[in-house]
Amino acid sequence: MAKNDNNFGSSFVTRLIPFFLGVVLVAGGWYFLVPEAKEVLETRDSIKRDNQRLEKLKSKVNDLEGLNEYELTKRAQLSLKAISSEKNFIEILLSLNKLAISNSLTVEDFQVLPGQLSFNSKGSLTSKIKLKGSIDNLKAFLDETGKTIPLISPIGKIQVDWSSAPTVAVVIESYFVPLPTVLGALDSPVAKLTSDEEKVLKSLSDFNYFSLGEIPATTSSGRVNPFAF
Amino acid sequence: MQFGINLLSGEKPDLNKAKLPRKIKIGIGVVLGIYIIVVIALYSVSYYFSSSEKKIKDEIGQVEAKIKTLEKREGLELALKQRIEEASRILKERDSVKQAKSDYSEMISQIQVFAWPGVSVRGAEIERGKILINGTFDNYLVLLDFFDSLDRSQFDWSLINLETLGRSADGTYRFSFVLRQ
Repeated sequence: MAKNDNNFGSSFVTRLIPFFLGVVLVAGGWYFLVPEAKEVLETRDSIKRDNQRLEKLKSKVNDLEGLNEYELTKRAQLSLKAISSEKNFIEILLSLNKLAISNSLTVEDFQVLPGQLSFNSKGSLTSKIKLKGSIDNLKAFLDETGKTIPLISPIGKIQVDWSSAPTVAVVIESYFVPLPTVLGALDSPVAKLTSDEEKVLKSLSDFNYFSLGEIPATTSSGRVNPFAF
Repeated sequence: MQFGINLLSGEKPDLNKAKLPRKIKIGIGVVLGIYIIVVIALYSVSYYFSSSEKKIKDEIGQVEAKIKTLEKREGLELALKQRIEEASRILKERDSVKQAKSDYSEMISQIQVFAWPGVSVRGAEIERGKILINGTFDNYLVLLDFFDSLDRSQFDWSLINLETLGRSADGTYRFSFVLRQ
């Protein structure tokens, strides 16, 4: 009988050990291995995302390094001549005046209608000019507004007084786009020009620009604007 | 004198009972072995991934720092892009106006064809696709010829509308009419 008990005991222990071991392994797996496995999977996904981001960043660095800073500055300056960063009354006035003189016209009147003084978004500046001269010269003036930078466009109603000394009153719209204040995300791609935009830029370089002469350089203090030329 | 050892105790040992713990031991060993392999593999992969992640993050940090040094170029390119987009829009608008023959210079040319004997144009108001002309003429018969000539002109007017017609005290006729493309 005692022998049978002993057999029963050893049989019980031999069955209990694997059971406990199984419990320990399952519990250990549940508390340590499963979270670790989850973390591994998350890390793998994170590596995948980081790799994609790294590729984007590397491609951006390549793009930026491929840009010739001198050439880029010249192109940006040309674009700034075409479309100012602010409502530049003086530049428009001088440009229209020079355009009129080059077409043998006299400026009889000039008015600026500044409108809303908002510089946060792109917009236009409206001015009104009254010119005196021959009709052919007035036509030439209107034609040349389309080939001049800063970009200007006659808009609305033109009033022509067809007397012996004809006059034309034209409303002119000029444009401004504020300089960007933020560059966006680091991994956002470089805003390259499309082929059509390259053509536009090239055509702008052929436009007339009535130089305003040398503008004295200003000394900056405090935070330097990275977009300043 | 002989001595013997009875190796057969008389009770046959239960071989199945003897084998059971051994099978269990082997089973436990196998399970533990696999478990350990899994644990080692898992932690190795985890370590490898962690070090890879750190390496990539370091590299990202370096590339980001590089991009920051090139910030000026990016700013210039962005400023250029914004302006050229706007310029493209303006130039496209101009092209469409020109194609419709409704740019101001073209429309002034259209008024110039009104240089008709006996008719003098005094003034005009020009909008895109619309001209309001006013002037005078000495003889009303001239006006009829003048209207006929407009019909034969090279421009496609969808409407020629006489707005006002009057006679001044000095005997001259005043007119204003609208041309629409």
